[in-house]
Amino acid sequence: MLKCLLKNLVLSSLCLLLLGGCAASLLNNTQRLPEAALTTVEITPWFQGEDNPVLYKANVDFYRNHFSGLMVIKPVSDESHRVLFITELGIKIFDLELFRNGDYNLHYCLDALNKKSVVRTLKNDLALMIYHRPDKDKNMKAYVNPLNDRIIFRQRTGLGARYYFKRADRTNADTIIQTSCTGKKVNLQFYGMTDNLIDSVMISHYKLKLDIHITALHEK
Amino acid sequence: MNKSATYTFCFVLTLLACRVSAQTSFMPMGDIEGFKNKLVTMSESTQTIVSDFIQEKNLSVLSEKIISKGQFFFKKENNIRWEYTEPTQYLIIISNNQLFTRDEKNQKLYDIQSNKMFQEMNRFISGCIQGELLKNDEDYAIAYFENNRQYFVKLVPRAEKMKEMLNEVQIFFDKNDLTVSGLKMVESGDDYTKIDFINKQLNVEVPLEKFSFK
Repeated sequence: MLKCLLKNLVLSSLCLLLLGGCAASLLNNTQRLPEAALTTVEITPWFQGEDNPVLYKANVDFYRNHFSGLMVIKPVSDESHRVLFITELGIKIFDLELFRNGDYNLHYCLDALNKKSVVRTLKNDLALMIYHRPDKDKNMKAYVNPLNDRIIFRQRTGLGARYYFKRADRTNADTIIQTSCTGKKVNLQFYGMTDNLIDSVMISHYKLKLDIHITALHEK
Repeated sequence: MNKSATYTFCFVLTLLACRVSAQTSFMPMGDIEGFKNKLVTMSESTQTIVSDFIQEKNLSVLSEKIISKGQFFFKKENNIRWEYTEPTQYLIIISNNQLFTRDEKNQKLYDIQSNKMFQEMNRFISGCIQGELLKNDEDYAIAYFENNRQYFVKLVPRAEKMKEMLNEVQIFFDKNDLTVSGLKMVESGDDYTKIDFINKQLNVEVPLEKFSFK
């Protein structure tokens, strides 16, 4: 019993140490913003506007597999989005319904990808891409980097944290980094066509050979 | 509009409706063996096919259809090139038991023999074009239809695993030259992929370089 407790204590301490190190590197040269300032800065998710494109060119690299095709990202209601990935030839790779509260419904997934861990990772990545919005009421801190005029929001998520980076004069995040207790986990880079219109997103994993790159196909 | 003009208008409308219905509705095929023989003759005499194509992807979740366009090349034996130009540039070449894909950023070469999915895809594509798929009644339940312009063959996969991906395949053959004029792959629900082949040219010169992986 004592051995078990000690083991947990060592592991937790290790996690906290690593987390501390990770946070320090992501928050270099920043100053904490006072609580009162949190009401004046916020992040608007890219995919919330009605003008956002529905169709995207998509590349998914998963270990040695490269999937290329088209991705449909369509709001179904205020609370949910449907995300479908099809190859150029029209073969469906997956069809996911994501809900703002974190739930999901897998309508279809090609056998080669239909593993619980893969589906969960895809769901987490895509939900973070679509619904990211730091919650002021849940362990959120904000920082400013005066050297490059960037705002960073840090939100605790279980044993990890989520960092949202944005320019002080913008409302959209350009980078999101999710960490776990062992360090950086996933990085999302957003590129806008205009201030509110998404152009492309690059999702890269640090410990998993999984990259997702989508580029909006704007109507000609 | 006077009474006589109204009757004439209705008569013309009825005629038009009959004509449209005659062109689109299919009846069970009268001479299936005759059709198969003609298909074999056509397949034997066809060395190359060059065609434009329009692909329509219908997803029940999406009100608009996704339209892709490009050019298709076939050269005996088993050299296939699908070149998508819209909405994105994408190239697929199947030749010498290898499958090559290229988009704006990546190019990949796969050995068809090493991948069961590619083997199936290759067998399916070349089987559709050369009519070989119609000989495969072990894997598909096949039904034959025709109208005044086209032959229409419906293939329903027998294997449950295949049915999860594909409910049925519809192949449309032009009655004039027995070439495939359309292909429709129906998935579960209302989702389908329809490919129409237009501006077809048979037995024109197609250099082998079209199928090289460059």
